[in-house]
Amino acid sequence: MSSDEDVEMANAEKASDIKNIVKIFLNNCANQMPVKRQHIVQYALNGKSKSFNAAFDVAKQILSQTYGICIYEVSDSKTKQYITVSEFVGFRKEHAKHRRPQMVILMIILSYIYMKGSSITESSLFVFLRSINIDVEADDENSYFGTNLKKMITDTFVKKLYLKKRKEDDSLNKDPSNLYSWGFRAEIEFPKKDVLTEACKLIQKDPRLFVYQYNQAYNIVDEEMSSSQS
Amino acid sequence: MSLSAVQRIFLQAVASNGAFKVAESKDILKDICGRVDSAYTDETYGETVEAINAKIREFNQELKTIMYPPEKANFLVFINLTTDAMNKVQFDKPKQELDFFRDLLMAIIKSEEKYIGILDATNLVSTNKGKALTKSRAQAIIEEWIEEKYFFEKDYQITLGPRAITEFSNYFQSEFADEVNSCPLCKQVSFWGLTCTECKEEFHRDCITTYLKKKTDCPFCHAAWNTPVNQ
Repeated sequence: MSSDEDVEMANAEKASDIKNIVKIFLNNCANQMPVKRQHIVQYALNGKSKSFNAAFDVAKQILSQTYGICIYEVSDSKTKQYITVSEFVGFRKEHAKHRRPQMVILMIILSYIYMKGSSITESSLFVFLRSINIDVEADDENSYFGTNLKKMITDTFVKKLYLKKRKEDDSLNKDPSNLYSWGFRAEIEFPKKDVLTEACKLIQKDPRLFVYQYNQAYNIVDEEMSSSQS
Repeated sequence: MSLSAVQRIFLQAVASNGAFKVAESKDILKDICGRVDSAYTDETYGETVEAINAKIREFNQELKTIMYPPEKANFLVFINLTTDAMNKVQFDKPKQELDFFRDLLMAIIKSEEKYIGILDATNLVSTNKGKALTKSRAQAIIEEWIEEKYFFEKDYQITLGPRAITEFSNYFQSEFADEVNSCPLCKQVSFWGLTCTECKEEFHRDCITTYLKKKTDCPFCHAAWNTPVNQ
């Protein structure tokens, strides 16, 4: 008798673990913040680290089948963390109208970084933006992008893993600048083929003229370990 | 076992916006169906909402339809029921912003008309102990909450949006029993309802309209019902 009860209790506990994991991801998918494995164990599983794998796999399935949300493990991170990405990226535009300005400036920055190679300094990014009439350091509120554009770029985008920020590798320089490159989320949400096509349309040049970018976009030569679905 | 692509895309659309007018929701659903080559009939909307709710209720979420008087329209609202402890685990909401949200809710509830001026709303941050939000951040965040349908702005006045009314209904009834009205017919919280001229009880427009199809008196005091129900 008691072993039946034990099994029932264990199943109920597992169901509760799964539900808690699903909810943590649902509550953090609008803010696009990465969710750390240790936080899942802490908040959803009450510290029971051993329960993680079994519950996590089922939670991932539910998130995909009911909500159309994909979980990716962030590849270049010191601690294990995950992000949520919609499976239906093509429908993103019309359904998040208040995110439009954010997406516009992000697309501009990502395209610029991509066409320039792989990373750019903070100052050259700001100079570029100023050249297209977007003054990041202006005191007054930008009418389209809203307040604190600088914080959005240097802080928010980095937190959401759209951009990666690191210090210039220069032991001679006492004050190394910040370097920006594509973040893990950008690699998933913005297919390089599309970015290259759109950028080349703007400057009216053939994509194949940009050999490095073209190879990156079409996965030629360097079969880089692309961000893997966990 | 899983929801169809149409259903999942629709769910994401409503969830990411917080709420849509029902008419708009139907247009969105029709558009999604067109883009994935799926049939759209008169029944599709009802079936879609029902299928989604069957799956998301177990996670304390729901697509709920409410009548929202300030915009004189029915809204489809995505709600996350607040009794869930997991809802508190959000990694980007600083405590001062959560406090400000609650203070703003309270200020609106305690006002007579359930509207407060936008300037008064941003000034509420000064009442926060400790590290207060700046006024410009307060303004920006109020705008975010309006986008998310928690609040609604008209003529520089702010009131509760369709999402706050639906998600926090139980919270209002338990914490602000003296300041909010509950419709005697359906027992849910009601704002901008219709009042009986005799006993002053307030009813949801939809609830009293349905009741008056069969009766002519006030459901509460049974005096003759005199208040017009049409806009």
